[in-house]
Amino acid sequence: MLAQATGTDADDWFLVFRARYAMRVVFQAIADVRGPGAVTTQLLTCVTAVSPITATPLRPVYGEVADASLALDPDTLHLDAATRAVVLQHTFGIIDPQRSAAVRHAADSAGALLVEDSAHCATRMAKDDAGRPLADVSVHSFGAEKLLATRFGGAIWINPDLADGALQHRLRTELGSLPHLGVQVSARSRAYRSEVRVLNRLPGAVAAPARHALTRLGLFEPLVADAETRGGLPYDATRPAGWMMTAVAEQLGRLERVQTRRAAATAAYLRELPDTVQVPASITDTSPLVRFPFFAGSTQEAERLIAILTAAGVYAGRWYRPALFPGVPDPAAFGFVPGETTPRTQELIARIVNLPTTVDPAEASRAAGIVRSELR
Amino acid sequence: MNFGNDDFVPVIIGSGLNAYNIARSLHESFAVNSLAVGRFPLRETAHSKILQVRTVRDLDEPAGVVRTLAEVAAEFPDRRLLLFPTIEFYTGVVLEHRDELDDRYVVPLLSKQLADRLMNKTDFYRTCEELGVPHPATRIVSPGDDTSVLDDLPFGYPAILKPADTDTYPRLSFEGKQKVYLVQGREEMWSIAQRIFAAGYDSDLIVQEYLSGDESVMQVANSYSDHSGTARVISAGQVVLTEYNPSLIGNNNAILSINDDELTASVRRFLDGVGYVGLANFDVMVDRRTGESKLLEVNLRPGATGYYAMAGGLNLIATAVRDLVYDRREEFTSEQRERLWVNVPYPVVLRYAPRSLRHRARAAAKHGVVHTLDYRPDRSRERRLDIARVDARHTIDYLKFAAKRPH
Repeated sequence: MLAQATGTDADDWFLVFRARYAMRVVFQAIADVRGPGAVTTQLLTCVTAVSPITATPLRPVYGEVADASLALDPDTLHLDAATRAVVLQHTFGIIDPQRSAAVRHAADSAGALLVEDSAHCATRMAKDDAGRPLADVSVHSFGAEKLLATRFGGAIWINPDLADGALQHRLRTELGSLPHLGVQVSARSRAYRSEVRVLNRLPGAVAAPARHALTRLGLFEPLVADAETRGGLPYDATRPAGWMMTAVAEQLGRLERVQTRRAAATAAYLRELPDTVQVPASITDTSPLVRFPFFAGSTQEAERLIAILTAAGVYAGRWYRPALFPGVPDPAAFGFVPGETTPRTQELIARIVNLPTTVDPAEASRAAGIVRSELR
Repeated sequence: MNFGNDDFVPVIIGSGLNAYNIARSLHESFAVNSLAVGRFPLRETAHSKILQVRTVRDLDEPAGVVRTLAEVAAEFPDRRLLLFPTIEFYTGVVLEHRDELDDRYVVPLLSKQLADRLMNKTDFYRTCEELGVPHPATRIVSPGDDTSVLDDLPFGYPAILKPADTDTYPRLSFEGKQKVYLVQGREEMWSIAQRIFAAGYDSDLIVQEYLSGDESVMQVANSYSDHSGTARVISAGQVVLTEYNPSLIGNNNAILSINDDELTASVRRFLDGVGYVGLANFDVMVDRRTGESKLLEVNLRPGATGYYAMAGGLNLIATAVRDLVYDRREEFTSEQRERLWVNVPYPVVLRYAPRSLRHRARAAAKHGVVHTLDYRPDRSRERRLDIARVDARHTIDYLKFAAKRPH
């Protein structure tokens, strides 16, 4: 199904329990085959996109994002001989073909791999003019709060044209022989949805400690583990459980409908918001975004909007504020300095707000109307 | 079994722990299987899915080694073969026959000339002296010297006496022969030296200060220097538990990967100073009086216990492959995580390691205990049984020999 949806070959896809663990397999393989060095990525992201780098001998280096695409800005991208890979993240599912091609070119010039993060847009990839995928490795997620109504599972696509034969061999061998998911983790993952339903109904003062306690007791599988915010990963990569893939297959069958609905919400926001707030210019009215991002005038304004929208029953979010969302206790462990590293990106992070795309166009228009009236 | 990838095929001489160490390091990095040739099938490498051992009985003769390697080369006519000897003897044979092997094998080893200089302990300590690398205070006794050579030693007794030429000495036979002598006084020293010379030994003897202490003063270092003679990676290790079986004495069964800038700097100065090429393994002792780490000797191959470096996050074997096969070199590194590597069950380490090291070993073990032979992609039922037997044999050795050790 993945191959069909992307116009690729099924032999080049590998299924995993969670995309982040497979990302570590990819970065560890790069480190082993090409030697220690740097991976250029961005601060406007989730910590789980960077901990797979810090959990290997590679170190993250941050580039500025373009405010149009929220992906690495090729115009300011600086790569050198130590760069082993560049992460092309399609933030919220925004795919900017021109900038993606420019990042590909920059990676080629530095002899680095292009790792595409399609976590927010499973089954969509940046492609060249001939329709061939640009990336060497493409990472897709079926985790919670992604495009599909799944909770776990991920997939990695390895470009069959990847010229580095040793890396190709290592990746395919390792990803093709991953161990099975442990029974306990599988059971915890299966219980996730029910546990979250209960926890979400508890008062905030009780829910958070209850969540921590359940996690400590090994009864709850958190979306972001403590180990991840410290730069590690709690598990090794494994295959997904059978029930996870059944759920993914079922959801993939509805992919077109889901994408159409999300694109419709995106189009509604796009009609109503650009005159009021700063909207990333690379979003098109056919983009099936996982959430619709925009920038308020300041952090205070962004937080005020989130509060007002939430009060009006709109599930507005602050991904990715703070940097490496939901934030890390020790930025040095991730190689960045708050306020200093890629300041332009940090300034964007300070003002970002996002709106749901799971709603119908009328509801999207209502949410946009709230924003407009608040900022009028 | 398919060996190697499109770019190289690993060929390992030996079938013991070091063979598995090298094969696992390669499999973890490049997902390649290795071919090993060894004299005996050993449990350490039996039933492996990443390493195939071929038994060749006459590998105890240089001619047998060379012939076997020629046969292996003929079997892979269009492949690039990467050769790893695992013990001194095989390293010596490969160095001696480089001319015959270089056409077909990429060999991560230094030149014969430099090897001769380092294998001879007289030259080794002289080189350390010249490069300002800490080493035990030493006096050389040559055939024909008179007793005055033992006058005014810069250290007291007890002292160490050992042969400088470790190639010819093991072939001699005489009563009371030992690998290394711990000597209590001047007369005894002279008497033993004369006995050795009388047995036909005609090279230098090393008289050396005795650095005493348990495992807490024992260290190791493993390194890789690229083909231009520049050190690229050095991994320092703190020995936690040594072997108790007298026939295996000198081996280590638990090591912590550590960061020791002073030791790393010494080893790097030595390696770069002599223009070393390839993998190396150092034995080191800390002088308790000064706290200085002193180099005791260098082995011109990866250490059999070198997997502790992998536990710490440094892959020396992969660094060698990237240099020699892929022509990629990276910045020097020696930074690693403190992790516990074991070659015996963890409870044995806790039971027999010196008290002063147990807390540190426990702290490292919280992040997991790494056992070279226990490799998840290579855990068939037969193999798990083999590893259990190896562990049981080691455990029994500790139970048997612990009581006989001097306290």
